Amino acid sequence: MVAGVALGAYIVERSLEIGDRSLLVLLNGLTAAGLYFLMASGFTLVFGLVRVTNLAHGGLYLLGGYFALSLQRMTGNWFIAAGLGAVATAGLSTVLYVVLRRVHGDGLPETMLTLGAAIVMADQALANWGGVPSDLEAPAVLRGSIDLPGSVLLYPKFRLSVVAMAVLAGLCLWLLLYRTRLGSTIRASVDDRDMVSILGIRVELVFCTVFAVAGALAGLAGAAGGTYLSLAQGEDNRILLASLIVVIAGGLGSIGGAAVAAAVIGLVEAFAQTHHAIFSVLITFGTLIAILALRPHGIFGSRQDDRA
Amino acid sequence: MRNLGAGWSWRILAALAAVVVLAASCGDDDSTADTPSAGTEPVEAPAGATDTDGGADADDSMEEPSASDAEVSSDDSSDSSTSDESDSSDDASTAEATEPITIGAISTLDGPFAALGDFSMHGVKLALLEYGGTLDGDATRDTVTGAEVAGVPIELVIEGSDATPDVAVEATRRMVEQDGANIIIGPLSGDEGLALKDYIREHPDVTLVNGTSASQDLTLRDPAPNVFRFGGDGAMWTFGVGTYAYEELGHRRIATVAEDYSYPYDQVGAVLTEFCALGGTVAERIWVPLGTQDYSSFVAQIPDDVDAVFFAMGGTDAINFVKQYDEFTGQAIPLIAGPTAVDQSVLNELGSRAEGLVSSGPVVDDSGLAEFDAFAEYLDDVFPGQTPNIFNVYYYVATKSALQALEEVGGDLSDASAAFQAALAQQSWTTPIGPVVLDDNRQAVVDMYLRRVTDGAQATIETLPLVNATLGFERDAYIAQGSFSRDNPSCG
Repeated sequence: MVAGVALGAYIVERSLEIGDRSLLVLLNGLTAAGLYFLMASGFTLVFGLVRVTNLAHGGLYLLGGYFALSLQRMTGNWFIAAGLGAVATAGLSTVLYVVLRRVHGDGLPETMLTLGAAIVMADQALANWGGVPSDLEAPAVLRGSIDLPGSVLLYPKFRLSVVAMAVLAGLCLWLLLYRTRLGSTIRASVDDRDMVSILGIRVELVFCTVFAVAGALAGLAGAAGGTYLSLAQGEDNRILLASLIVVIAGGLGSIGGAAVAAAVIGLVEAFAQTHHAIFSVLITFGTLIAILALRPHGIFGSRQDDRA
Repeated sequence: MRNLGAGWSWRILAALAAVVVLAASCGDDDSTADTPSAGTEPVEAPAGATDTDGGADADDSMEEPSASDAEVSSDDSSDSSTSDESDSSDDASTAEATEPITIGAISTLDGPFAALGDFSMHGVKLALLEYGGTLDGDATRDTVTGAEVAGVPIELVIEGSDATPDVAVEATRRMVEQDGANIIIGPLSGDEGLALKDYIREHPDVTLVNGTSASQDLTLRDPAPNVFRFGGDGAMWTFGVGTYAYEELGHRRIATVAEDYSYPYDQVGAVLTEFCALGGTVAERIWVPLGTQDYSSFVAQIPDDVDAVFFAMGGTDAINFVKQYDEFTGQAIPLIAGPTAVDQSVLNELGSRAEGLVSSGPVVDDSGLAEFDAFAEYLDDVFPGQTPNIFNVYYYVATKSALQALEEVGGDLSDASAAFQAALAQQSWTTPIGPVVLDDNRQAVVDMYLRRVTDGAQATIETLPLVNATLGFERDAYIAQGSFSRDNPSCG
């Protein structure tokens, strides 16, 4: 309690010290949130439907980024590179599902298999693209910074477009899930897999599709992250940990939860790094603990999750 | 979503545990995750050369149980030497003994600094090639065979770490205790060096010749008698920058952004020691976690009213920081760089953003030294496309210094390497980056260069001759001010 008060007092004091950079920090937080959402939405979708914690999701991010890097060097076009890179990771993710199917429903082998895939992907990235960090060149239209209207703030265009990309991806996912037949099948499969299967729908195909979508999102995130951040060994684990935090905070299997949690975690992280750099990790994880203390199943997670 | 399997919660636990294991395998910081192959690759040591020091105890007077000197290295190895001859180790200097001497080289062959590990091994191999060795292959872990010093064959053993101290110690232990390494070349990073100092101190017959580890206290405070550094430390590499910023660039108030561990503390400390002694002030010292990807929130903390920003980072971090600083501010406030932030090994990746950055450091591309040009040509011959950088030059200098000292003593490592270590301490020669001589702590006194990135290369502004470990300050006072830290020096 005393420690809490002391920490609170320290936070207020530091915030006053740094002064007002709220808009800048807000945008930084949203950029991070955008990237987290691109990762977490696929992760949570796969978990909600197939009930697999796909630890190779970070590997897909890294490979997606590297695919896009090579493709950009070939074609010179960021959009084509990112698009084809996402297609490639969608393919990889599908292959992963095909292999995973053999042990489906068996928790430990499943998790081990995705972990093995993650290790293979990381080593392949090192073997093919080497240990020297590199990055993608932002497309010409999104290069440089813009003056935000009504303020003197200069903000990089590409970062803003990462937020836009995440919003767009969220919209597309929503449309897919709630406005298409495939979407209703997916939602039905989440609710009651056996019943959907009895109705004559090939659930495996639905699963396959979900894996492909998740792979594409991770690949796209890799291209985006590889552009405004950079691609290097170890990035796969870093982003995997971040998206796992977001997924758990948001509620496993909930896309809406992933969106809200990504925003919360991204913003908390940005504010913590700006105002209390030393405690930023502590504050980020503290937020996760606080969320789980108040809502043990995550923000949008439902209590019925426990029902067999 | 309803109706998840009953066992979901432990699955998540398993997943979290797995992630934690992955993250933990990279030491202090999750973003420096090593590739999972860390430490799992077999050592590609030549067969027969790596027998442990097992039974073959020569009749000399070594007390150290782990002694693994030349005399001890197994007379059961299949070479033609007659053990009678080598037993008379007194005249080993007549080069009759043919038991091989084992050199163990360690650098970061896995993890985020894997590329730098490649560069380091180039340097080690170049030195051995000069002594008649041939490359076993092109891969980093392929060794050099056939090298000889004063008639004594030299074996090379290569081990990798992931830049974490415990992995480095473990790898070194393998080389010393299993492969019988007599001389260790390395390691690459600061905290690894401090850990190895403590390990090597317990093995007085083994000699550590530092690679690029730049912790001040590898040699400055509490030095070990068998640890040698033929290059600068983090503070020496940053020598002159603070003065130049104040006197030539006219800066009066700066901010610093640096990674949060010992090596950047040394760099920031050295800059501020000079800058503040002249009357400059520091507005803000920003410390970022090693391996940070997104610097936007840290850039936001830089006060608007400073004259310049000094940044001290390495590898990926430097690339990310410079790129994002450029995007956010257009470099409205000029940057001043730490030595490795703009090392030749990352200049390519930094591209035009690094153009014009001022720094200090041991390697420039236009020194005009004949030794440097010869080295650059030699490097490109053997490893096409490679250019000199801090890592290949330093590992080359370390290895060559050791080989020269070995030659002087005729490969004699008797009496716990006493003659060899004495000869090593006396080494004084013109390296590709200038003359080197060691002080009483076996720390080099070397030239540094004040330099500016020009057309993607490091151009000399001024040569700073014979920089010592205390940056020219009075030794006792300098040591008494304590190791550099987050807030030492206080600077007003």
